[in-house]
Amino acid sequence: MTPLRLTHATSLILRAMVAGHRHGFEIMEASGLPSGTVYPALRRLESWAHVTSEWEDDDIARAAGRPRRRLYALTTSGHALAAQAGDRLSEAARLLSQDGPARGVGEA
Amino acid sequence: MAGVTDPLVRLWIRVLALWIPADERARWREEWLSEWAAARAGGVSGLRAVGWALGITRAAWTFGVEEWTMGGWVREVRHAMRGLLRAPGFALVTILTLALGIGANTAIFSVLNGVLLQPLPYEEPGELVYLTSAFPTMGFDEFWVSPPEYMELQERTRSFEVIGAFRENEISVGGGEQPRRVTGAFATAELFDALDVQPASGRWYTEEEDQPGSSVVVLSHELWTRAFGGEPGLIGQAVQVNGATRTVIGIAPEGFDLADNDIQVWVPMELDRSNRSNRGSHYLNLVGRLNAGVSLEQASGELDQLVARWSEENPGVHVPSADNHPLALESLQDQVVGDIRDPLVLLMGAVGLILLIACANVANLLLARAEVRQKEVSVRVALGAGRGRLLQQFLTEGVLLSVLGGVFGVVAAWLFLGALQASGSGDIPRLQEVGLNGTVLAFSAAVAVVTGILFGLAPARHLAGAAPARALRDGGRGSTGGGKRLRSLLVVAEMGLALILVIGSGLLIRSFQALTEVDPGFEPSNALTFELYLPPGDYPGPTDVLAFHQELEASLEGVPGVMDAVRMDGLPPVRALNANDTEFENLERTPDGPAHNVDYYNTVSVDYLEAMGIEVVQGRGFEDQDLLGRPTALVNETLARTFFPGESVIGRRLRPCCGDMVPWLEVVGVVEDVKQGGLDAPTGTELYFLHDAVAQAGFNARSMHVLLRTEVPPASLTPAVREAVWALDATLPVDEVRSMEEVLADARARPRFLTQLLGLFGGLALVLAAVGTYGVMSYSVEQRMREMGIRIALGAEAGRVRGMILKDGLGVAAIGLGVGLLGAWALSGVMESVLYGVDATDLVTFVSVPLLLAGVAAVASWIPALRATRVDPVEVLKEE
Repeated sequence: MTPLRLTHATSLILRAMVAGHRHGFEIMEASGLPSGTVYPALRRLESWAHVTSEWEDDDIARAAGRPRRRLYALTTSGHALAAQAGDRLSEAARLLSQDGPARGVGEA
Repeated sequence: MAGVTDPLVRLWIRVLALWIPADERARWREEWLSEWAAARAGGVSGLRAVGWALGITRAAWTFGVEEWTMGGWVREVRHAMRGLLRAPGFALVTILTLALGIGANTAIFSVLNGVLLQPLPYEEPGELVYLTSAFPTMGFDEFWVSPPEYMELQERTRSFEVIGAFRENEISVGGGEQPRRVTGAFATAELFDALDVQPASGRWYTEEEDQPGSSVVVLSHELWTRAFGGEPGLIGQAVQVNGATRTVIGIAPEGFDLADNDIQVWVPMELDRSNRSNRGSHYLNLVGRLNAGVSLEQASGELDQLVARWSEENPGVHVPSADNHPLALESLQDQVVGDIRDPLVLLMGAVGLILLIACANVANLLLARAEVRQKEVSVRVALGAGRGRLLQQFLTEGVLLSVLGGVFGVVAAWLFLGALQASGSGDIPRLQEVGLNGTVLAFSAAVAVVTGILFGLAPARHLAGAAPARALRDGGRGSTGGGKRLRSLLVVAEMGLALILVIGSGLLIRSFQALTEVDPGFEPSNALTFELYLPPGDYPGPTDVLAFHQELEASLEGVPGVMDAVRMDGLPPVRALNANDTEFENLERTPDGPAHNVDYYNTVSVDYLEAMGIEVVQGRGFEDQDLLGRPTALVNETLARTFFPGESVIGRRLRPCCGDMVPWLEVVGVVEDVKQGGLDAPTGTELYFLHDAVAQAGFNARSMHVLLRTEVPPASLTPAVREAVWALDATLPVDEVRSMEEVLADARARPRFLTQLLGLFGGLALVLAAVGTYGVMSYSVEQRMREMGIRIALGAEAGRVRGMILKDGLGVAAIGLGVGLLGAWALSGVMESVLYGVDATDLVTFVSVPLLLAGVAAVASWIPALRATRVDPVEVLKEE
């Protein structure tokens, strides 16, 4: 199993999920990360049981007139990890703002 | 634009999914398809759509790579390794079988690669061509070119950058540790321009140095190291070449050779370029370099046009002509390796068959193993292992086995090649260039992997279809019908392939037998021979040479164990063709009749026929009176039959070639045919005359073979022979002293080599096929133990049970043999070119080999059948 490192990208994804974004494209849009980063990170988080995923209810998708989506949710350990990630992001933003304007981490 | 993007992206998602591990494939495909729909709804299009598609491409790639590196194959290999260690007997047999198959393929492919596929070691070897003439009316399809023809070719053709000429010859080299007789070449300076290779040190000679009276020489790297100890200061020093002093100006690069002659010394040809009269004297080999961009066909076309003009412009002059004396060219590579191509391709085919048989065997073993492990597999299936996962597991085991087999096979091939090169077996050109290089190893690796996939797939396919419930219920013992069919099919294939191979080796063995039974026309046992060249410096005239030989023979006949010492200028059965024009008195030349040309001139001493054991069939042999009186000659039966069918040749007169000064000779006897130019070649026309008469007529035979008839083992006389020669002249090289039996064996080297190798492969195929049949039969008996037990309990006789098993085994074998017979029949054309004296569809072989294989199959089925009858019904039924 690929070892999980709490990278900057993973932290951004976790923060997007804490903010309530539940499927890949939303997470991409919210975190500003490309698809090539988001899906492998979600897969790794899932393999470490920080994230679970399930298919959206068929009826809901049909009612909305689109294919059903894969929905991701944080587990208990995922929430803990997200908290840790949030601390790190704030710390990084603080450090960066001392030297000048923070780039890329200031949004959301 | 947007209309195209959507279907393209959807298609791309489906393609990408194939790379993703099977258990997650459907999920990601569906997820991305819906995500793409969401992205489109969110306004993603154009470049952003491309970016999104590239992103998921990267994601899919990551998933696939992670699966393989982190989990996939490392885990699989470890798992497979453990499995093999638990079944060491199975692993050993499998790996050995594969090592044999892959090793044989690696060895033969490396020979094929080095000899046939690798370009010759010259600059731009594709531009090099070999030019020959022919005399179709005399039956000479490949003949030499005369000096005037060579010079006019140089002047009149435009396709060639340069044309060089050479003539290989035995040459004496003195000045090192001891005088040596080596193969050398008289070559024009242009030859080195054509080959375009730099000497190892010094230089080649120039056209100015290649004139009559030249005094330079170039030595091979081998001769330089062997005879002169690799002395760096040899350049500029004088050495003796054929008794004359020459200055060494260069050392050829290591391994430098031409047309596989093993040339050790390069001497200027010294052609007199102003002499255009010797048109009938053909003795040059030509090597040309085509101008850049000129193809073989273009040059060939120019040559044809030139030949047509040549004869038109020179009526009545002996020049090349399309009908009687055409010129031809082929690539130098074809000239060097042309006649080994068929045998090598044949051997490659043979080892290919071996590999297929080995694969069938291993597939069988794996199948049996898979069936034994069916319970384990069923458990895994029940626990949710997918078919893809199982397939991967079997493929990994298969590839692991074949890679291990490949490693051992390459080691075996390496040992085999070393032995082959050390022995110099088989008279194979370019053998020393052969080696295990990158190409060969890539070939072996490819063979190993493809092999592993092939037999790895067999059990996997079979198992993937097996329902877990049934296998579990049967206690993991039951064989499926499909498995049995597949196994029987493999035995059919094995038997068929083995039959093809064993028939091939059977034919070669029969052919070699025919070759050993060829009557060479002389008695090879208890005869010793060596060659002497008497240099013009010490032996200026023909009578000096004659006198030396007479004195030497008198001295040799005094050596205890020597019964007779005689001499001749050409050593059968491997002497060069003469093809000399010869006049027959009062014999009309007719258009349909034979050309007045004799294949072999033999200059011999009086007792030659008796010492060689050549029978006189009509008239008499040479006698002492012939030394003094009228000049006489002997002819062989073929000559008498060719020129004087139905009449006696005794008393006829003939005159050997080359001018009016040659006296007419009276034919006094007809002797039996001797195989002068190869045991497998048709006998030529032969003419014998006495050395004494030749010398008196002013012709010099500097190079003579001495033959001793002995009453002791001939090899024991070698030291005495050298002593006798050196007592008369210590500067004469006496390099190769051989028994006539060795000479004969050398003449049969290639067919013997081919027969031994194919015999070995045939034997291998036989063993593998026997093991395969035995494996399948004993397995099938194992499966039917319960049935046998019941049958015996119900009172079936042992003979009946045995017969049943035997019938099963022989039935499968018979189908295989039938298929194999058809295959062997269809492939018989391939064998034709390597067979001598036996038909490619030889009835004896085609009947006896299938019988042999049927016998093998019978034994291989008999042993399990015997076991079946020893079943104790109580035991078997109790197990249930």
